[in-house]
Amino acid sequence: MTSPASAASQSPLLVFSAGGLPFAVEAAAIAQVAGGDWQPAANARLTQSIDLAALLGLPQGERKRTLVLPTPQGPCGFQVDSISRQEVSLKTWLPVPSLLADWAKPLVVIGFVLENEQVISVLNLADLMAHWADKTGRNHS
Amino acid sequence: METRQPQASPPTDAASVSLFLFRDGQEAYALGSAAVVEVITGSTVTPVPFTPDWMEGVISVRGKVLPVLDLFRYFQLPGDAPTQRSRLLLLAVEGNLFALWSDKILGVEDIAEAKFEVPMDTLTPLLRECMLAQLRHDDGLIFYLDLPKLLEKTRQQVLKK
Repeated sequence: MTSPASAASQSPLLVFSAGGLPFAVEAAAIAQVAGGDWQPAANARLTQSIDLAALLGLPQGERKRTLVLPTPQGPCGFQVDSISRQEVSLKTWLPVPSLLADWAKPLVVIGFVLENEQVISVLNLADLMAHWADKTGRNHS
Repeated sequence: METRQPQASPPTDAASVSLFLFRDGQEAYALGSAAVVEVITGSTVTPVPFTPDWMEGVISVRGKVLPVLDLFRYFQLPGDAPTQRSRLLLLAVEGNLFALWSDKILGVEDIAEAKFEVPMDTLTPLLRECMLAQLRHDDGLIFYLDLPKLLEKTRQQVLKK
């Protein structure tokens, strides 16, 4: 998992919404931003893109865009509602409190950024994909 | 924003303890006043993925992110969830900063230890385990919380799942 310190050195972030909540990911971790109907190639081991809001237990959103994550098994898509590209300065990165790290299982948040006093969770999509694979019984090893 | 200065030493004498008293819904609680760093209003709580339902989310306070614990949900108390919550108590416990909701601050009082009672058997088991004592007060029965024990129990619960 990327530590907040190393993540902070890898701005910019992609800020997006899923299920009505704002989130962010490191832009460097994303291979492509595609439309909401993006699907992996037919011969890929992953046969569907992932509804991020559903995976996070949030209300279903518009799913107009897909964040495509490169993986050893081929690209994996996370459907989200909308995306805005945003530069985030190092000083705005806030680490995950140790107490929160104890309470969140799995911990898929690698830090936080602030936007207009709103706290935005920065997600590690690779960890989220691993969680999805565990949850759905798909083997990504 | 209401700011309180933390007190270095809760007991004011050998037989009494300085307690911060507050209400959250139908329940009233007491905390060692040294743990209460500040009381704030107007924060937006942002949910965090894959946390228990009693972890309401996080807030930002002067460049720090703090988790918010919902006592009503954590203790699985009967009745309706509190609806008038307006203040967040910022607490420092064993190096951890976190927040609890309150809808009314009852004040800080020196309570004689002789007034401490063993928690009633009828309380939920988890609440009893996280209490140091119960107190009878003008504001009704007050649950005096053992905050380090509370945090320990939250961690144990998450690990069990």
